[in-house]
Amino acid sequence: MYEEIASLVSGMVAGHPLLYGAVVVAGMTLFSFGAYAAVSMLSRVLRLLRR
Amino acid sequence: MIFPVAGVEVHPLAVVFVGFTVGVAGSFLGVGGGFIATPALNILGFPMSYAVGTDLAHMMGKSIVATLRHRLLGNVDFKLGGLMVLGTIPGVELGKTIVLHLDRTGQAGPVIRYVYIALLAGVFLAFLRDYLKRRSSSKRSAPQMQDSGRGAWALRLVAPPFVSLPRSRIDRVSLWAIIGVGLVTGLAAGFLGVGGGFIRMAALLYLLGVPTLVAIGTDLFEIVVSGGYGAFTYALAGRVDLLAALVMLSGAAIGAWIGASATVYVKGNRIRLYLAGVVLAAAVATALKQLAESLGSTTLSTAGNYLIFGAGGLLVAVISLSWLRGVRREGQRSAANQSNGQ
Repeated sequence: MYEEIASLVSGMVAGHPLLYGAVVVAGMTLFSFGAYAAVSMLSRVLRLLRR
Repeated sequence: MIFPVAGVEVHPLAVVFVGFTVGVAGSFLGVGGGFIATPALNILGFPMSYAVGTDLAHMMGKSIVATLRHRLLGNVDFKLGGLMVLGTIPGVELGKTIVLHLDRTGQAGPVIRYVYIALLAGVFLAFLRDYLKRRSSSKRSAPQMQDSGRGAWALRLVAPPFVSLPRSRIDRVSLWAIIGVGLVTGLAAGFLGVGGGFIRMAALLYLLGVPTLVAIGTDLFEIVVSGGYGAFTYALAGRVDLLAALVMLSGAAIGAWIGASATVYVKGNRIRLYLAGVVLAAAVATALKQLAESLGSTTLSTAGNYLIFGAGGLLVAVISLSWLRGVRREGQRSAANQSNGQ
């Protein structure tokens, strides 16, 4: 699975730089919102457990 | 784990740790943290250009998490950040043009480093002087100095149109002053090839007189824009390892949460002292690198990298402890309140 993603990314870097630029910005943005939601939920669960 | 674009094999936990360190420090101080992450990635084996590009991509993602958290704490002035961007982008382009001109004459490296050292030294002295002044005024039990800089230089500019920034506790400021500050900090960022977080923090605090916590949140919002722009341009050149940036961000997201939350438990003046310490370490590390290039010594350059990474690690330990202590105190207070209510 990881090898497939890695080769896909490498191919994009070599063949479609503009698409790669857009994927980097969009990917980081989406992942950040997902990470923020996950950490917020984790923090709420921990707060509830402490009570 | 092999990172395919940079072509290096690094343990993923090491990359997560770098992300976590930068997440805590950057979100607490309101800076991107490129001064820690870039040398750290370089130490791990990433070639310098990939370290910069990957760090910019991760910096953008981490700043989104930190901005969202700071927004909840009421620390982000989106109006100020949005207006500053109008000056920041042309400033970055102007800075880049100067660098390209210097590059053609073969003087870019040393000139950039000397300017960087001078700027960091100036910022360090400003933070330290301010910290000592505020500390002595509170020791004399005189009325506490405001955490916003009244009489800041940019507020004195009388050139319409004017805007008000209630979140930053600024009643009236010239739009040109905000764009001018954005232009100067963008110029510094584009010229020095860094996010410019330190310089923007100093400008927000001392030129515009924004309170410390709002300066942190607003600076992080600006880094989302400047980091995104930088990541896109580096990705076009194939210098961003997306997988490494995502692995880094998984650690940075947790770190950014902790760093932003810790600002609730640490006084604004103490944050300025921490900033001063890290800026000093960055200035010494850059001076060591310049010396290493002049003498042709790799040992001095490595020492500079370890110094900045060590200072970052120490800062993260201090911030995490403050956060843990604050959370524990809050828990004890709410338990006491509950038992009093019963």
